Amino acid sequence: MAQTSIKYYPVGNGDNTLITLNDGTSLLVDCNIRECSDDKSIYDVKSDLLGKLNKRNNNPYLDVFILTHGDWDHCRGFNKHFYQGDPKNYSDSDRKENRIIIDEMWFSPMIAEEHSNDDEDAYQKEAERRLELHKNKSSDKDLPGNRIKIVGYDPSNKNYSDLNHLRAIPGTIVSDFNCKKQSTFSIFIHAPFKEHLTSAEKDKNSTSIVFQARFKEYSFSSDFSCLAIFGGDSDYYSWQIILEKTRKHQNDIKEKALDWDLFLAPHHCSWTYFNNTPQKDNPKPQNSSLEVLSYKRKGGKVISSSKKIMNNDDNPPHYQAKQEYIKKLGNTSDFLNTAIEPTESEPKPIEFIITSNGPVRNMDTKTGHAITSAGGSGAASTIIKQG
Amino acid sequence: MQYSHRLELYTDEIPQVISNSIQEIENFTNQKALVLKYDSENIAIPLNISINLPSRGAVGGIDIGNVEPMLLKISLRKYPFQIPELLSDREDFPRTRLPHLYVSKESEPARLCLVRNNPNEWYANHRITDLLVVGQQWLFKAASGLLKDDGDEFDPTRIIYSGFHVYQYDLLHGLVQNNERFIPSITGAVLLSTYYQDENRPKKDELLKTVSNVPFILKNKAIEVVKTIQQKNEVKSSLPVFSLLVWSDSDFPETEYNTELPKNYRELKLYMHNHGIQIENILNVFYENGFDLCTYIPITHAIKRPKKIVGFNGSYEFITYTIYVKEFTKGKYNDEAEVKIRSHIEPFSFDLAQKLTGESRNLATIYVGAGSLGSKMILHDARSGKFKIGVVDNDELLEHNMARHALFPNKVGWNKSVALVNEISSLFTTHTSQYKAFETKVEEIPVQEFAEYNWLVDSTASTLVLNYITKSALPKKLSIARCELVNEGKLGLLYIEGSERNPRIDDLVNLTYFYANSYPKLKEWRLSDAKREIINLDVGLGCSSTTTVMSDELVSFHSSVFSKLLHNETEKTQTKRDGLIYMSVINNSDILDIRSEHIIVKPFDIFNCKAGSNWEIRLISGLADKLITFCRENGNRETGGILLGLSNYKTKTIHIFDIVTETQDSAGTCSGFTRGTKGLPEYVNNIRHSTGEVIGYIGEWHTHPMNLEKLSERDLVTIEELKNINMKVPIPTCAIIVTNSKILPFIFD
Repeated sequence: MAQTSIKYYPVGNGDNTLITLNDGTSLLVDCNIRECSDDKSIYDVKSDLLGKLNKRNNNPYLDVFILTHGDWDHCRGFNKHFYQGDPKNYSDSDRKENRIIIDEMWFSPMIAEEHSNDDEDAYQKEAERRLELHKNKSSDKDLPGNRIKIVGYDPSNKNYSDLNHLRAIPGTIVSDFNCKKQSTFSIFIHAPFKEHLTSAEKDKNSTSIVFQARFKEYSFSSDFSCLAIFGGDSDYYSWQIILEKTRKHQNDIKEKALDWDLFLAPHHCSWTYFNNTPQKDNPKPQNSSLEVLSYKRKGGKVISSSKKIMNNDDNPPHYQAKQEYIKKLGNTSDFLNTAIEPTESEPKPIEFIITSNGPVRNMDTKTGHAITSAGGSGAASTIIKQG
Repeated sequence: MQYSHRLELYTDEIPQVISNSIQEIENFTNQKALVLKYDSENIAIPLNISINLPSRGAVGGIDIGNVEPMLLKISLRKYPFQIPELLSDREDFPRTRLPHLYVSKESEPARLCLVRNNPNEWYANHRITDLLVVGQQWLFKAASGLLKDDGDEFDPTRIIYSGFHVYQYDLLHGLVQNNERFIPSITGAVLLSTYYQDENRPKKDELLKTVSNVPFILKNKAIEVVKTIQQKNEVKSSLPVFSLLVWSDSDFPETEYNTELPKNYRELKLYMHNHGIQIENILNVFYENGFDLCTYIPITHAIKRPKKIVGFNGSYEFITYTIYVKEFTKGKYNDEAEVKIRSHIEPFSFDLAQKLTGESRNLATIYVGAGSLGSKMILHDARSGKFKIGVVDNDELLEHNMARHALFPNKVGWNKSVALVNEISSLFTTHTSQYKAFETKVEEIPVQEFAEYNWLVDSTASTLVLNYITKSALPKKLSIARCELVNEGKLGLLYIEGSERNPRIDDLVNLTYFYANSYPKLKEWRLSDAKREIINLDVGLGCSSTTTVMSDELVSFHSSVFSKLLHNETEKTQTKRDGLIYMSVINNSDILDIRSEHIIVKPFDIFNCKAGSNWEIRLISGLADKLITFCRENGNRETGGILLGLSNYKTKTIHIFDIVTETQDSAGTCSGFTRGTKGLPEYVNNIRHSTGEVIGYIGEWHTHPMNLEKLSERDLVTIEELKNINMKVPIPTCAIIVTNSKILPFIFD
């Protein structure tokens, strides 16, 4: 039995988070897989993922991939590391390259239109291949590797209304993942919502799939053991609407849809979560953004998936944004930056185990094994003069 | 309050090895270590260990903080061969609410159980800082509710025990779960157990095995049986005894761990009382019914836990106490009587065997031959949890068998099959095995007995058995294999028949001889075999055994290989199977050289004699087509040659593995064929030599292109000439007529 966990990978300014459920189900939220070298400052995300993911017929697979939006720092490495195309054609060469099969992908057509880069294009192309299978009612449409969920609404130039059975819209809760019903895990969808399509400022504001991951100890538990919010690059405007809509439908009370134990600081701890940029022209955080942070539960933590945060004008990550989060947390140690955990020179993922009393930061379990050791060629290849 | 506050500074000399480790601790913690005197044998170092806590505090409200004061207890004399103990320095440590703690008194610090199996072995490969990291993990897991090993389960009490109690958890759990009381007035059941004691056995290793429940109605019968066995058993090394299983009437689960377990009857009585059990009442019933037939009474206490016990299928934890009751009589129980605690061991079962070996040997096998090779293969199967095994052997185990046989001297004089079945049955004391000994020759076993099995494995190396298996009408579903060790154990051969007994076992055995022409290892064996001198071992007055010289390791090596291969073969589900010849080769040269080769053998083509002699010819696959092709390709001209193979008078079978076509000096016409001899004797002798004088000339073949399906007049004359020659060998006279579509053998004794 796997341990239910959330793992935030150190990927610089970018997002790459793996949720693992106790039945082994895996959900990856965005990816930013950079080329690794001997430089330990770049964590080998791919190797770690391969170690965590299950295999089917010796092929690594992910149950669900959620792309919050198509900025490159959220989908880098997709084309190279994830298998695309008919799953029946997964070849020895794919296996050799350890390409990860995505059983079910989550796709937002309205967000997809806003971005373009090689990896995003590949994601969109793969999504459209799957949508086509479903539109054509192909007998293979429900095979792992062909499954898809549409999140949000369709842009004006697309119409997937015949696939509404695959759609999840804001305000709803998803508990089926990769064709499996989960009793202790669900996702509350907050965005993207229709207003993004019609807003006069839609091109100016950035949006994403925004959701709350909800964990329970038992299916019958009245409270959640952990609530984790993922906001992609959503800005204060999106959060304003999220707050308003959630309250309007009383989902903040009925579903605790805004509560959080873990809050992934949107847009890599950008000031855009709090207000317009530059911050010096808009120094006061929007109340709505602060109100969202007030839904923090006891011991809640903010995770900044970003570069190291310096006291300068960079954005993202933004120093004042960090200060705003810390003010809300009331405790500096509850603000965690992926770039410096445990050390800046060799960052490692920040992993939380989900317990009935909330998330707990995992502790390194590794101990040395061999009591004996031997030197490398260093001394052996050095001339030693002895008297 | 912390225990360390009561300890004094240790001021005596510290062994260097401990000083080094203390230095390592200081480097790890960045703090100067304080060394305290724990007792005369040990020092203690206080440490603060920091851990992460869940956001809303430790799971379940367990009182664990993010900094826990601990004590590292190090033996002055035994370190580093004895692992340091990591103890909580807190007097109020929540010891009753946490698993993975050794049982300890309130007055002593709680001791963390950090690693599985032998902690000293673990520490031999780790450093003292590793121990601290593991301790930190323990506390982290305790606070996060992760100390349970596998999901939502309850970890049983870590007891310090003296001896073992072997019982099937499900048996005891079922009795308690179903409230199967011996009599309605007590919450207890009586069990039939065996107590194993031996002068040579350390007290700590004394063993108790529980076999079954004793219901009230079977009480008298059970007592009678136990008394009879106790009287007969002079050695007293294994005594049948009655034991008790007791539980509480209350359904309320106990969540807390015991901090201390009873050491004498007085403490046991109080302990049981605290758990809602009136042990004196139960003991009274035990005595009233006459179960007191031993100086020990084992009492197993069932404790209901809130969750399923880790690794078992129920929520009851069992702790067994053994009371030394020499001075007990009904109603008079000596408070000072010693009580010992036994650790549970699940009996070795088929399920456990399969789980541990990772194999499911579900098909039933009958072994013919329980010699050194067979006995080891049978043990492999039994240890892997094969539930049904038959063993056929009419031979007795003798002293000289101790060199290579799987059995031990206690079975000398026993029939090998009976002894082996006795031993493998004893592996599964609490399960009914379907192991059966056939103390007879294989040919005397009714054929229907074989229908009970899926596989027959002949490990006799006996030609007699080979012939019997070859020709007897064994059940069609029975798969057949044979194995033997040859060339002084340097070569192991395993043959597996094909589907529908084709290729048959004798095809494979004989074909192996023939392949000595192609496989150097087979040739080496055949050449050596031709020169082999059989050694007669004197094993006793008027009794001798013929055997070859071979080390036990060689037999064990091949038996393991064969056992594994047979298991792999039995797992295959295809309905059609070719035959297999498998060679396991071991060369005891400078550096031991191990290899294997195998040959897949297609079904033979089988033809019966057309002359009414009951002989059968069996042609290696492809040879019949080859002969017919020769006939067709030579048009109206007859052609021919000789057959290579061997014959078996006992089975009336001729195996043909190759042919020689017409020699240069042969001549064929449309009405006749004269087979020449040029180069032929040399060729045949070479094959005979290579195959250890086994394979050679076995007959003639020639074509009848006009499709005459009988021997011609000229053929009949030739047959008579050949008979005179062949009877001197002796071999039957075999002539195959090949037409454009048929193979027509004519064989004469």
